Amino acid sequence: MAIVFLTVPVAAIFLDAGPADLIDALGDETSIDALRLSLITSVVALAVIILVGTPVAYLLATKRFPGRAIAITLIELPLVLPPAVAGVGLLVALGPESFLGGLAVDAGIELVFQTTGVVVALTFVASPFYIRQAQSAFEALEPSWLEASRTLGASEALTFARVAVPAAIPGLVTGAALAWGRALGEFGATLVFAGSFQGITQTAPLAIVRLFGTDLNGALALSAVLVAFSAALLATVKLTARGRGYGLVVD
Amino acid sequence: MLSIDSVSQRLSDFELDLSLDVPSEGCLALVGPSGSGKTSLLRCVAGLSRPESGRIECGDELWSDSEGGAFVPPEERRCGYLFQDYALFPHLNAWRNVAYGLRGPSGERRARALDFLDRFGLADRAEAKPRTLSGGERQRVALARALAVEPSALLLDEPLSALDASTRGRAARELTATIAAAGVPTLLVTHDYTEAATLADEIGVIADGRIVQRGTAGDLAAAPGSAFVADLVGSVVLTGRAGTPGDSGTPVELGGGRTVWTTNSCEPGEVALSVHPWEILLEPAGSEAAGSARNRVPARVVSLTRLGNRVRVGLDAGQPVAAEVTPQAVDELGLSPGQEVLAVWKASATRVVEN
Repeated sequence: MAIVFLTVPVAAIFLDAGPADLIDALGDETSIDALRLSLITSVVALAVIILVGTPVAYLLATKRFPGRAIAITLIELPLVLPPAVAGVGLLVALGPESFLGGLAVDAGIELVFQTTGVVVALTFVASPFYIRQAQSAFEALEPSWLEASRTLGASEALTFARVAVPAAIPGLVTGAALAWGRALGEFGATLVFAGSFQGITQTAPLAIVRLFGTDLNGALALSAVLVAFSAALLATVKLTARGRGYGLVVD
Repeated sequence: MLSIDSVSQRLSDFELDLSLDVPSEGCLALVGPSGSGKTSLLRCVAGLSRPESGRIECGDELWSDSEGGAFVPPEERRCGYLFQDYALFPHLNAWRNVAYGLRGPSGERRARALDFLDRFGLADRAEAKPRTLSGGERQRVALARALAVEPSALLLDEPLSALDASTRGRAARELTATIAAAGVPTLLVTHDYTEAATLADEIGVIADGRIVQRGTAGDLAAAPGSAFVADLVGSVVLTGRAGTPGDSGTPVELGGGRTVWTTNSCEPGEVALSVHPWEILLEPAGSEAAGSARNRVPARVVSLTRLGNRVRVGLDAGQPVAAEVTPQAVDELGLSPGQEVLAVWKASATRVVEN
């Protein structure tokens, strides 16, 4: 029963209209713009998350410092925050009226109702998915690997780059896939913070809602693309989880 | 010379506090039960943790001094550290593990790493990932990696304990040769006295963060300073050359015309034997064989140490031997240092520890 309940809606997306209709509907300009925007913004957000999140996760995993538990809680906060609330928060914190938003405007960076704003919203909601996973991947490393690297002449930074990251790769890939999936599906925070303007801030999930009233096949086609992509990400996660780790065979 | 001067560090339920010197080409083994502070000391020497007070020097380099606040990070100390689990990088194959600490063009690093692997008999395993190596191979790759950087000191943490019995003997012999060839101060920690006795020139017994006695294996076996040391030292270790096994066991030539028998099977060649001191009887010199014990070795009494209700008699039989007897036996035999006696034990009490 449970499996049927969980799979029927997904299957219905593909079965409601024929494949030909779906492919046809994808040719629509709204759909093309939305998919392109989703791809660009989610990839940029993912790059930011990986570049900043990897060292942060490493520090959280390997260092003990005052306020560490609070830092972890704050980083995980977006996980439990309703996305619309996240959007409102971003608007209040980074809107043109705010101090930070004012600084950004002075620097020539427009966030609200701009593509950059979409990237900010995606980064905000998706980063905990990556950081949590990366942190546990780093925590699973043998401390002696990192220490051996130090005694062999590598500084802490070099040890991070040459031992910690390569040895934690399976966990990092899983985290990146989860964060990417979350970013692609993001709706609420983007809508509130960046709006839904075709070609500028209207990502695929926003376009689905827009098309829903006027062009059901278009909405279904976009949904099908997102489902296929999410399934591919999930498969990546499962496969890296299976081949995970370099656990030494005890003989 | 590696010199550790009043290094202290608070550990969970006691304080590490010790001073010791390791000569520039010597190997000192610290032996003690697990949790006695041995690994903590190695970590302080390597720079992986910071002592609360004290001074650590290697050669003319000051590594750590609580008074001046000096602290050299591990990457600048260049200690060859052999970790208990060997700590091979799982994502790198054997030669890349060895090349990790090397500097210079990649071709040169590779050639040097392969050369080191070859020296450790692992030329054909150069491309293997650590998880596909056997325990003994991992140990040798880790040693090659530690030595390839031409370390200023060698630190070995339980170097043989992760190996199974069948590979330990060979690994121990190779390690002894490796330590001698490295020519740098070597500090080894282990909970296994036999391991310390076979690998090191000198042994320091460590308990609750302090060195309770230091000396050669012979010194400790002959005259343990306390019951703790006597229990730790445990059995007598003899080395010799095994001959061809016969019906009644295998003869082992100890040198100086002394031969003992063991009922354990072993291959002809170099061999280490162990005997428990309480299994060795003492008889007056020149007495005729009266019992069933096959091994009758002439020896001279070196020391007498009272340990509770027994007396440990340190003997020189070409190699150090110790017997534990009752105080009455000491009186009856009139034992005193310098006296010649016969040490007697059964072939079945003579165990082969490595071959």
